[in-house]
Amino acid sequence: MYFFDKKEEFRNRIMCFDGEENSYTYEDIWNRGDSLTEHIPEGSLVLLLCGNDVNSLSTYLALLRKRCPVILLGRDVDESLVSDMRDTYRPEFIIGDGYSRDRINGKEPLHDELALLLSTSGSTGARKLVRLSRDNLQVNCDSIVEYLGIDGNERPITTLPMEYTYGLSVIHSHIAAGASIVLTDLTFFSGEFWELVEKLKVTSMAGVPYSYEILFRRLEMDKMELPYLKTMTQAGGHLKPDLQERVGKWALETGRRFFVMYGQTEATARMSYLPPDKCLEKIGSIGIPVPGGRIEIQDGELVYYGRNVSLGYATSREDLQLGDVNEGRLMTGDMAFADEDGYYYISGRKKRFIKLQGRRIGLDRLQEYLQEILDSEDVVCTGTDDRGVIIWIADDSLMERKDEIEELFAGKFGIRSRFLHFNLIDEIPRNSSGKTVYAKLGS
Amino acid sequence: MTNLEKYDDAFLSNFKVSKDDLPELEYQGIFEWDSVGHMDLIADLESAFGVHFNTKDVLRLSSYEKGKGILKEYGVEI
Repeated sequence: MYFFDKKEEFRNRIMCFDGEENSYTYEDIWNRGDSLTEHIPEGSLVLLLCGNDVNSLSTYLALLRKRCPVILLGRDVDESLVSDMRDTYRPEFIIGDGYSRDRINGKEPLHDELALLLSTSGSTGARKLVRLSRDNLQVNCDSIVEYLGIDGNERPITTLPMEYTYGLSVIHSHIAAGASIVLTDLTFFSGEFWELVEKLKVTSMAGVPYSYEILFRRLEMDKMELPYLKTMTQAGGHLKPDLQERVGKWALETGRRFFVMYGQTEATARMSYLPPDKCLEKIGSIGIPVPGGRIEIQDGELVYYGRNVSLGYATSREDLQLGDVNEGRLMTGDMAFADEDGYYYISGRKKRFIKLQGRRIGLDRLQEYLQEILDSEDVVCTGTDDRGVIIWIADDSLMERKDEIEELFAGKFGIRSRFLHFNLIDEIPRNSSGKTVYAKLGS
Repeated sequence: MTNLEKYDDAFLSNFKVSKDDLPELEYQGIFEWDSVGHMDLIADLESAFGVHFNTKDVLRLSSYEKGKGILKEYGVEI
């Protein structure tokens, strides 16, 4: 039975707390979800604009059990992205503040197994979605519950957006185990966040590399008491070695567990994890495959096998009728190697993308967009996870449009100007066939 | 530069706002003053005034106005 279909097992347990410390049982959330989705027929395609709150969670779970495939987007995304999604996928309903409850599109066929559609880049405006099945969700959830040892006593607090695969996996895996989740959109820099952590006795937190920069380098979390906090997890990019060492040591010395993990939306969420007792010994490693998964290195690329590998991508409504095109095999695009003990390490990327705060940002897409709006080939993008996007311009008149570009990137892709760097150069380095030689640009 | 100029400069260089917007400015009130923006702002204030904020004050510094009071506790008159 799927975790979202279970009605009886945990009915009287607390599923979640809101920011005012009110608690809601599994039964409360079930009933609330039923009433919030009353107007939606079974099997409808629904675009849900969500946040880490009780109504989003209730609605989402009700849609899963009503077999309504859900396109999940953060509720603060740009309106233009919502209308793009509406035009591309023609959902029958949009659920979110300010949207009518009325049906907006007619019914069109959908694949039976389709449960969830996630963007790989969150707010950055890519229309491409990953198609996930109910089995994908359940299988990955089971693996995560097993390797993290999640039980009904766990109490995580939301520290990542719900529509982000890693944030969602925290929610799924804890609901599957009958645990209680503290739902909040507050950030680490909010005093109220830490009050909730203390008062509600939070046991675990998840974070992307930047979260750990904030938590350890800025907030000196290793000096906080946090008597109930037992587990910290990290995914969404490579954590700097010195920071992994600092967090790992703190965890070891204080009897806590720190898990470094690796995953992609295309694998529902998780593919590998580094067991906490290996954290300091295997700094920089993404660890070993999650239970039920298998990793092979093929021509240097990490290839993952498992039943959590998504059905495939979608770029149109018609694609939502497609079945499983991946057949349990995912070419990750990450270059990797294994050490003599079978622990994997990522050494680079095959494709041109960077990760900013856990979100994948395709450089080619940004570049095409820039060339289009500037109507010029004299602009290309490179980037690094640390610095962000580097825009190389070989026409000084285009430099005058810097402010406009910064504004567009913030609105359309959610990339703030801090992560945009402009460089004026004499010419874009190209090879004899006219292809850009990115290696010559440096960083 | 006066302390007020240095103080304003930290905000103006991190966020795309004008001087008139400053008095109303709050953490998460604008897109750019998010967690990332906060990290940068705090670092810039620290280097501008040669102070090191403790964790409590990093959390308390949640608006343009509040920051002035906090710096005062570190002996910096804005």
